[in-house]
Amino acid sequence: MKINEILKFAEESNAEQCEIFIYEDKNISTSMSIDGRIRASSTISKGIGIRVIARGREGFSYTSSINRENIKKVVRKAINIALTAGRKLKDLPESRKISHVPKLYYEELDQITEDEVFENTRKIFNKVVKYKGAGKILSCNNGVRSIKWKIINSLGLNYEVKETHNTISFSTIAVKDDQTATYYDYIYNRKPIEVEDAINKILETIKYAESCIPKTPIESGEYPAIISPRILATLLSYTLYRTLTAKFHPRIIKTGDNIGSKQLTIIEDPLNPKIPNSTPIDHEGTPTRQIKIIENGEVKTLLYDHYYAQIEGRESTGNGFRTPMSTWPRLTKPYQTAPTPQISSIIIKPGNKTLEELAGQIDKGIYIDTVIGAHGADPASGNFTATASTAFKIENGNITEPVKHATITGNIRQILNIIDLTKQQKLVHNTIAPTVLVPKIKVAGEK
Amino acid sequence: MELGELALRLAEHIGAEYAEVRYQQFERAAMNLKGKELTGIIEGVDEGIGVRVIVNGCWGFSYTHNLVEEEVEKTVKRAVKLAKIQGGKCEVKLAEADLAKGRFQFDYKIDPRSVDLNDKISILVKGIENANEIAGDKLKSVDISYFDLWFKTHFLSSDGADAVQSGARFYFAFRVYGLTSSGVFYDSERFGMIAGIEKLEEAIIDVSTRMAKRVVNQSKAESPPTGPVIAILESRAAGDFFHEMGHSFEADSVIRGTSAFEGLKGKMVAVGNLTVYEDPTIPNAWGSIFFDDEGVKPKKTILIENGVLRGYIHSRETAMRLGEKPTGHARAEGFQYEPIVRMGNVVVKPGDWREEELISETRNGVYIAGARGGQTTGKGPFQFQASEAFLIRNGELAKPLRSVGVSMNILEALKNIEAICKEANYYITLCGKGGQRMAVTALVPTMKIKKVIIGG
Repeated sequence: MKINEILKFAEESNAEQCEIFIYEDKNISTSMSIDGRIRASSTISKGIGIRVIARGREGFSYTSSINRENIKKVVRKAINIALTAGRKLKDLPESRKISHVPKLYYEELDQITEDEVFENTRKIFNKVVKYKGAGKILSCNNGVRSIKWKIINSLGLNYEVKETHNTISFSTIAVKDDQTATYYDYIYNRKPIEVEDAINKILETIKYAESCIPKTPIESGEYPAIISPRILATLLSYTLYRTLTAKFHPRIIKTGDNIGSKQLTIIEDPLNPKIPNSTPIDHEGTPTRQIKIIENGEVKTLLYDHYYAQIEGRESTGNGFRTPMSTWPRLTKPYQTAPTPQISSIIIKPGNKTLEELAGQIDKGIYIDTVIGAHGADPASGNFTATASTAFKIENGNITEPVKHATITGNIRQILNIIDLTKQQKLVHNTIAPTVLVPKIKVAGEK
Repeated sequence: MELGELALRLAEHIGAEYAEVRYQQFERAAMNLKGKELTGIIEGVDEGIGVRVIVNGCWGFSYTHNLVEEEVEKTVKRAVKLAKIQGGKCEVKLAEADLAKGRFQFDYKIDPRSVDLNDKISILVKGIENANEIAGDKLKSVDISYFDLWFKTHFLSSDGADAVQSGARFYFAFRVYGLTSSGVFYDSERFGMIAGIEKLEEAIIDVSTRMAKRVVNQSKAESPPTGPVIAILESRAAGDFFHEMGHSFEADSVIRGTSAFEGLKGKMVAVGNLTVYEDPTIPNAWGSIFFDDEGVKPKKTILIENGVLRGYIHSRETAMRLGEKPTGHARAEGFQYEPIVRMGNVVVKPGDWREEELISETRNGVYIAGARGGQTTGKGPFQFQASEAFLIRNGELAKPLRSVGVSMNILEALKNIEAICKEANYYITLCGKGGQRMAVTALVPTMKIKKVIIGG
């Protein structure tokens, strides 16, 4: 069924407006682990999501079996949902000019074969598994993803986006005297990742895991702390990122609020190809742009999709993304859900220090690199508790021994009360963040 | 399933020594409520076939949504090709197993597909009204994420499994935003069961009542002490602990060397009165199945018996590797995923105590109820966030505590259990592992542990 036919069918079925989201992805994934387990999968997934407005209300449905009969069923179902239970929506987004299209697609990655992906994984694993020491590789996964999606609506909007992604993820372990350190990391690129780069990164990580084997307990108390990019991004994703979107209710944060120190500037940068979620348009066709969400600690804007923008009589910020609803098995493909406001691609403005220079500002403190349990954080109050799985003491300005069993607690606003930041940044999921120095964090140790 | 048989024949014809085909169909409705306002709703049908093969001792996997002969053939060829490119450098073998044959159906009375969306919304709104009535002005708002599902799986394998299981399930997350003098706080509880809509109202009233009472208590809560304490873990909090610990019973983590129980089979790993088993056959429990995603009939598996580690849970591959029998615990989130070793329902044998007795016997300690955000590194610590906590002083719940985080080392905690109660409630979750979510439960009585670390 052609696009125009779908739009016409929707109109004939009493939809005032209709939006079509067509999605296709190709995934190759190969993994090897220390227990000899090898896995290889190759999948192609296609689907179509249809949103309509009927009698001023919104309805949505989808199908992964694309044929004329199913598409008609989906249109009818979307209209039925709009008429029986849909939320009010006046219009779909109109077509607007896209100012800049970042390079998100590389043909050499799109064309890579299963054989080549497997061969690269094998080369990487066979090299790093030979490492001799207290540390070792546990598993390595090489995933290649090529995505094409289109958004079309009856107001004339019509865009297409192509993306490629290569992610090599790996977990490592180091054991000594009954103490264990596990460390997970990954490399991401939109082009094929060089085998040598992956080998070097994994070997570096194994050696780092060896240096993380817990040695000494820490006394309970409050300490100045250095927080890694990974923890900063993780805590933000469970707290602030949720409350910065217009759909979060009750509204905890408003424009003009001061929620961090002058050192804190958070930028939404969906035009940065280094961040996997980047895109020149959102999933309902609104052009994206660089936005300062927080500048020098002050909230400059919340993030809107088209629906919430209409409610508040303002413009969408280009943050209408199709992310999984709470259901199981999950609907993980974007065509399976309607847009809602979501953070996309974040940069936390770096400073100009090194990690060592941050530590040099602390007499007695803690450097926390990884935690577990942060997903239990309270997005409303910002309170969190987590157990440090990798942490080090800071003594007399130096990062010293790895710490045994430290539970950290605090509030995200304490963390955002940043004193200083490193120049070096790290990509963590959808955030590029520096390491930060914060005034204090509560630590519960075994003593 | 003609396409399934076609896929099996083709796989064997082009070189697979083993092949399995999983056809699945899911018909679902999902909605989000913000207060009584509907903020998102979808209805949809997903179906597809996952194909997994062994060629020259190596696995290959692919799937398709497109259920036409040509696409299924391409899917089989992709899976076989992936196995072949590994060049026979793996030695996968599957243990003999009790394979399922026939049709199995979970009982339900009201099919979710037959219920109007507005009727489902009306039931959910009753939960919101109930919470508002109990918590009054301490409750600022409520969110509910809800879904229901009718599901069917047809599993076929080249070594003889041919079985269908179907049923209905529903699940919701009830999220509350309460008020304290210092601002707004959040809490949530999840509930799910394999049942029809006939069970929804009772469930939403039960959860909303509990959550509203928590909001009232938490509105006057104070900061907790920091460091090691004696703790009484209420059933659902204990359930989170045993669920996270349960990952160490999964044989793939034992083989990989990340299990806390690696090398400890036959050894005393807990107090002598602790018995733990895994049972995916409990009728209609959230984590139950008639057969796993390798077509194996699951069975009740003793894990710890009177403190001694007795066994692990297995897929056919891990059972072969460790020389044990498959237990029916290879599960996949859907046809798009390969099965991995997963729990179903972890159960701890009840003890003799009553919760009130445990509290009255405790001079100084902390009572911890509910849990969210549980996580473990296996051999390292385990952590979760309590939904509700109270300071215990002289045998009584003295005052509510705010934002209590709980941390333990698994093996230490198992030897620090001082008392186990008679009563247990289900801890229900969708657990993440290997990029997949899985419906699992833990049915664990309230228990007293003589040392946990808390912070807040």
